[in-house]
Amino acid sequence: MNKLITKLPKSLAAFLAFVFTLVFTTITYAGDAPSAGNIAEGQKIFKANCAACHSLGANKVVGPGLQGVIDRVPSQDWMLSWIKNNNALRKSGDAYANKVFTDNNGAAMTVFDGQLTDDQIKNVIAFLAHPPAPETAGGGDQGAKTGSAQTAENSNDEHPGMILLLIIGVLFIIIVVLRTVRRSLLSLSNEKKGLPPLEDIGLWKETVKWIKTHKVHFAVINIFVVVVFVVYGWEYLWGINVTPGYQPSQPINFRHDIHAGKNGIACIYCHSGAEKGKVAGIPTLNVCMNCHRGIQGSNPEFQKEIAKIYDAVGWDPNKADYTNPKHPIKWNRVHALPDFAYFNHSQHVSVGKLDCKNCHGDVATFTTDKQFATLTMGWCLDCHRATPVHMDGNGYYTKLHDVLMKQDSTRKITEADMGGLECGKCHY
Amino acid sequence: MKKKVFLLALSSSVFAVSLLTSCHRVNKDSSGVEYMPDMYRSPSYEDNSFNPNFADSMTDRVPVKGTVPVGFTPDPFPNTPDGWANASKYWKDPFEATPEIVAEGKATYEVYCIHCHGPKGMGDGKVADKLPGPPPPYSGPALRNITEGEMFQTLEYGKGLMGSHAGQLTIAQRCKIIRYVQTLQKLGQPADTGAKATQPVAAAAK
Repeated sequence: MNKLITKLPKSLAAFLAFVFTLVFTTITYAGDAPSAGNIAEGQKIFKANCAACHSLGANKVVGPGLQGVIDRVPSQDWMLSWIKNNNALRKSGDAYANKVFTDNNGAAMTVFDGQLTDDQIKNVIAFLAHPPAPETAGGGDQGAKTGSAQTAENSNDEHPGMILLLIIGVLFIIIVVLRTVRRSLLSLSNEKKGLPPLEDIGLWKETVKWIKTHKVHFAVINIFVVVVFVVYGWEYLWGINVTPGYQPSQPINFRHDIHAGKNGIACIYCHSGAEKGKVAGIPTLNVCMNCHRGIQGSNPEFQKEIAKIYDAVGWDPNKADYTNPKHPIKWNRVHALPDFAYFNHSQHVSVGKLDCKNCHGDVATFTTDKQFATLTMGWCLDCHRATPVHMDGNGYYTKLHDVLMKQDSTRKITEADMGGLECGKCHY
Repeated sequence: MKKKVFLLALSSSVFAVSLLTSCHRVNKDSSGVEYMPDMYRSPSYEDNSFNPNFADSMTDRVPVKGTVPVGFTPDPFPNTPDGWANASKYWKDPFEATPEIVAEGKATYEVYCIHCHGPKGMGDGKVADKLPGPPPPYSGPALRNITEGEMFQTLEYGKGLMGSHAGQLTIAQRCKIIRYVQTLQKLGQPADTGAKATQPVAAAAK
């Protein structure tokens, strides 16, 4: 009996101690002064689980912004049960929970019961009650500088032919002026010496006279002029409708070097038409918004360009909704194949299994796109003659492969062997 | 005498050629001279081009509301809570999870998904860092148990920060991706022990 009495308070004391620590820790978690470790832990959990939908500012990302959320909600306990299972909380008839639900157009939040423990959620709440100071924009100056350097590069647009013509014009004027000076000086000296004045035979006759006395000079000038005209004319004629290096400025300074280069986004992700149809296509803005709904730019220059997408598609970044007026973007076309030449992207990308680089160059190093290939017929045919067709394991060619292999199994089969040089393949 | 003429002519031509070829293509903004542009430029409006006939100036049109393409099967699972619940229950991937289908799905995944979701679906793609928050790992507690129907709805309508990918991916492509993502969901689970087992935990803690 005695033993029992002494034992009971002991176990009672242990139980009480257990309850006390439980309550105490709960208080520290839910109270106003959680430890820095809890906040840091909460920040980690927030970044991994919540940040994809909630910003720490006032702006909406997918769900509402969480600036001052702890002061806004009824209590931290409410917050805990909301994060754990918002569906259950709404079904229990909680007025504030249903208000949040309808305020956000009836979009349900993920249920975290089973994903996060109560302690983890409390850490997140501690973090939300003590958010870090908002970051100031900046830190991306380097990107801005390289961006402006790229645009400066584009502004050099003097024409060599014009300079040449200008030099020739100036030289001609000097010749005419010098001739006049020489003539007046000669006639002045003739007058002093008492000789008859210089007869005026005219510019043309004088030139002919000069040619007759300076045959070597004349020959050299002639050769020079002919060479210049032939070379320049050749270049000029080749430049008609053939424009490799054409890199028009675009309404949005889209950086392929960032998207395809640094971020490693595949060409086909945005130009998904390339594997499906005739045109690779300029991506529609919803494709931009797949990422830029969340990415607003790391420096002012990028933010300015990304804001142009929002303007074009009518996106309100604060409300996270397409409520503004739309203004479609008028891109400048880079590659323009003539209307009389048929070209199909999917035929080359999906069937021929060619890499985009073959015709478009290493776009992952370009800023805005530029024309890489000449796009002449000779360029097409050179490739059709030279490139072996990927036939192994390529369902499109199984039958043809067998037929051609029967004829000569050692030969490499090119597009030319399959009629790739026929006029009617592309011109019809 | 003849030698002199020859030398002069030669040097002048070399000069002229080097001068002209070095200056080739200096104006990046000019598309150059066009000969007979009417043979080059389509009188019809080409895809993606400006079109003055429509109020929004775009040639690309969305189908008239209520029109149905040939071979169309109606989507029984709309973007509503009920639609999602029904898709989760009843939508079945038409492709069997054979190695070939999974491989095709993997190839498509590596074009369309990898930059956010990462090579193993851990939410550690190159773009994930720039997003406000990374996508949850497929093998983590949030996505480990989602059904193929929910995946299809997500690709069709988008979910959270992820937009709809219906415009970029054909239905067959989406179904194949789902078969591959299902293999990623199983990473780190008892059947697949070893080094991979630690990855989802590390990614979730990040």
